Amino acid sequence: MNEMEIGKKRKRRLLYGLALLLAFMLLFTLIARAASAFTTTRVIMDVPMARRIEHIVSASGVTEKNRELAVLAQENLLVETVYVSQGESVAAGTLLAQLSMDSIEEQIRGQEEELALLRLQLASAQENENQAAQERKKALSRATEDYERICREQEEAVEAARSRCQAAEDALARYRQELEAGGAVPEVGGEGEPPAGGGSAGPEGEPSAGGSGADPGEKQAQLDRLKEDLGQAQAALEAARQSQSDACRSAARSLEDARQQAATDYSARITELSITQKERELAELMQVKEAGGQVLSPVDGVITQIYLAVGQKTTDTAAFTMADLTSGLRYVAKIGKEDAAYVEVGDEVTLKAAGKEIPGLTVFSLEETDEDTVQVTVLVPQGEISMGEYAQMEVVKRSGEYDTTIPLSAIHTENGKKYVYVAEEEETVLGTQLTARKVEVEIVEQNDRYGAVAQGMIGADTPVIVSSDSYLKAGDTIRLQQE
Amino acid sequence: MKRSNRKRALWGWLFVLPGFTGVLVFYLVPFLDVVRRSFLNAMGGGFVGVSNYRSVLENEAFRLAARNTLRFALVCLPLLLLLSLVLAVLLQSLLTLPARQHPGILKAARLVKSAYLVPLAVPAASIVLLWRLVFDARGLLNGWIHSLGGEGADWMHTGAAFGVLVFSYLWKNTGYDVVLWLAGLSAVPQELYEAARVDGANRVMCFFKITLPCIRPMAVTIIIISFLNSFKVFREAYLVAGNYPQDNIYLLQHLFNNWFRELSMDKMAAGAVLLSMCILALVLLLEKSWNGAGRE
Amino acid sequence: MKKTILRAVTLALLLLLALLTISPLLFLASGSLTGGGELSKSLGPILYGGDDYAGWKLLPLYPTLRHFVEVLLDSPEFFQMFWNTVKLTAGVLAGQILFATTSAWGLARYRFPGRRQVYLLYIILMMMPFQVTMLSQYLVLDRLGLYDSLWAVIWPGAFSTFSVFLMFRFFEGIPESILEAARIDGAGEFAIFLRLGLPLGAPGILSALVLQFLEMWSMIEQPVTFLKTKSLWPLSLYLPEIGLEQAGLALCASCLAVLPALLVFGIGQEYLEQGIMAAAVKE
Repeated sequence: MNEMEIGKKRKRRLLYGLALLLAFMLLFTLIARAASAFTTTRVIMDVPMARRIEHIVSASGVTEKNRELAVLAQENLLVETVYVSQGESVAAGTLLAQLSMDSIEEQIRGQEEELALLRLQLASAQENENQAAQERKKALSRATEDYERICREQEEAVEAARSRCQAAEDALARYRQELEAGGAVPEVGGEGEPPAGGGSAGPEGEPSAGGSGADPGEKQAQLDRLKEDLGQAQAALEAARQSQSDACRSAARSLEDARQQAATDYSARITELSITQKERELAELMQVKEAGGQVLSPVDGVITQIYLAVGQKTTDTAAFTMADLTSGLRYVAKIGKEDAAYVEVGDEVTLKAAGKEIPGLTVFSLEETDEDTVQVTVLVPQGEISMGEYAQMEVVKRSGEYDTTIPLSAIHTENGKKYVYVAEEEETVLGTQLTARKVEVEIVEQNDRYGAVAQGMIGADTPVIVSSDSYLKAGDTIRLQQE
Repeated sequence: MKRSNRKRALWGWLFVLPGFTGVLVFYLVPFLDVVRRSFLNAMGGGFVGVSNYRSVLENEAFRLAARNTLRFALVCLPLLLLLSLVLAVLLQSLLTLPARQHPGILKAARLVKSAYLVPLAVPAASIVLLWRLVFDARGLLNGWIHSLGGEGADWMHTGAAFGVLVFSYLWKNTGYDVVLWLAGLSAVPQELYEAARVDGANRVMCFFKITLPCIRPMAVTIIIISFLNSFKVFREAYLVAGNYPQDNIYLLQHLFNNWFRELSMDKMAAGAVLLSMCILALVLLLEKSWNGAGRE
Repeated sequence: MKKTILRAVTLALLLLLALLTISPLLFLASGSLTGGGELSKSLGPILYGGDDYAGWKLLPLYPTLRHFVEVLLDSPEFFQMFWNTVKLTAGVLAGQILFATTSAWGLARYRFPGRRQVYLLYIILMMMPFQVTMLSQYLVLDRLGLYDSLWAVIWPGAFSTFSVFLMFRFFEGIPESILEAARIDGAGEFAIFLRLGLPLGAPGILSALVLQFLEMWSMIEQPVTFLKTKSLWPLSLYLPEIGLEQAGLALCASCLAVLPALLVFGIGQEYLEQGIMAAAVKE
């Protein structure tokens, strides 16, 4: 009996054990399911949309002057008062600075004195000039006279020499004739008169007692003598000519020199010019004086720089520089290189400044300031915004329409390639489950919120995983986030 | 009387009906349909006579499977019977001891019997993992053989796979048969032993002359049951080797599964009918031949 | 003296064999407590090839519950399979309690025309291996739209004639006199069945149930054929799928799978034995 009881007890215990085991299993089933559900990544999915990719480039910038001009003031005047400060906007005609009248008067006086001095200088210079002219005239006439005289004398000398030469020649020729003819004693007369002052002594007409029947030696000697005479005459002629040219030349030179002294003296002219200049300065000073020594603003603008200092003298450079508001303002902002890819000259820009919005402006220029930044300039017409004001610019670029665009959070990058995750139904031991599948995609264009996927990579209706509550890997089981 | 008889009969039918309906629906009627199909072609269309049977009998795979099944039975059954008989006899000698004098031994014997039965409770799926570890080419058995200086075999991928199956079958069914033998042994009347001992027979003679004949009917039963259980060894084979195992362990169930997958319904039908006929014949034959007198 | 020695030797031999018989379970248990590293070392030769042979430590050097945690907390698939097995088993057992008991009772206690034929039929069906009935079952299940669902295994199993047979034997043994007495007392047939038959035949019912439990817990042929969706698979199909790389996990899962069966075995061993014996004695 006891055995049976023990047996029964044992059986009961085992039965309890079995029941316990089943309960245990049930509990763990729930725990395991819960754990798996907990660790299953939950995802939010979204269907790609067709949209245009919008690139909004915005930056902060400031308006600055567009055109700058310089306001000049007469130099060397004392600045009495400066009425404006840097950055102040002034209307046209505003009094910018007051120059000291005394200093103007002083300046004027100084100028006038200088002018008088100059005039005197001019007068004396002119005097000198006249005198010099007269002397020149005298020298010139003298030189001319000398020249003519010398030429005449030389000419006569030459003439004399020539005639003597001719005579010698004739004598020689006659003798030769005679010799050939048979020996008539030629009369070698001194036909030629020896020129006054003539140089060479010509054959003095020594009647050559020629003789007929002179012996050949005598004939030859006579011939030789005649030839020598001729030679001498020729030499004398040559000498005469030479001296003629020399004398004429030197006379001509003197004449030339005399003429040349007509070279001018410019000092008068210079003085004249200085006078003109001074007169002009004076006129200017008079103008300033008439204007009451005031420096006025020529246009509506903003004072950018003041170069005057009270108590100092004005300089010959600008007294003020101001931004010319009538030409409008310029707005500049800096954007990064990547953003710059989306902005082109001519694109529409909207400026937003304190409280108001200015649409319809265009990009005027783009300039690379350094490696990573580009400066954008926009012209702003006058009156819209004040200078120095900070504003936000916005350029909106819309691309063409893309069929499949997905939020950026759906795009993942790995090893330089881009992926999205789509959900796939899979038959598992636990039933149908969703798993994540990786699909490689090519992003054609993206901005900071959406990316456009190249055609055909994923269906235009395929939902993609937009976000997951934990790190997602390909093949992971996923669950849709319940609302 | 007649009325109560009829009433009784009605009640009998009433009780049997639900189960019987199920049996009809899920077993009998469809089997008749299968018989019908065995004469048609695969799609259930034209009448093809006995060509299905012929194709099945000529099918290489079928021959292989049938051969294997038979071989398995012929190898296993004697082994099993012998082993379980020996164990049963040994166990019996301990179990029949008086409880008062040897309570410890009795307990131990009972424990041993439970231990032998445990493999019945272990699902094949659980144990298969272990078989893989033991019988792998680099597994525990080979390691053990190696350490004894022998050369192991690639159990899983060669003909030795048969041995694996035999071992698995023996492990599982020995306990079952031991219990049966014990039942048979305990049915032998003690008086016979006493009478024999009086006649001067020793234990061995007792065993061969008394015990064995008495348990002959049980032997037939055990053979039949063990044979039917041997079909279940498919489980181990499938779990270890899959759908297309090594040739030596390709069994009928493998074949039928493959036919099923290939939708060769005609072959399956013919095969099923053939198999059923064979088994029926075998069982009837065995019973008749061993027992002589007609049993149910 | 001789007797004692003989007895001792016998016992020793039997014990040794018994130990050998349950050693696989011990391996399973110790393996499930072995850490992954040790397992890789021991089973390395099997997993990765090489010249060495796999070893096994009966007691792990660093026992750990990690694998159990893995199975119990980290693998919802295991539980899916587990409950599938439970559902199949429970379904079939429930069906048999319904249908087999009544059929056995009817066959055992009532005389009606066709009784013998039905009995014979049941016995014949009982002996057929699955290959024979496989196609026919498939045709019916397909026609009924039950294919690829747990019902495909439950319904045919619920009408298994083996259980009918087992229960029949036990119902047969009940003395008619008791029933007659109840009838005279005015009890209806069904009441008799419920109040007298079932309790008295309890051993038979239980033995059938235990045997069927063990059968269902490790059933493979039917699920392999009739269950296509992976999420319907029972443990017996799932366990082999765990590869040897996850040896710890597999061993744990196997352990957990064996546990219920062992418990049932422990509870119903005597019924098991009775059932085995009843099946054999065909008187």
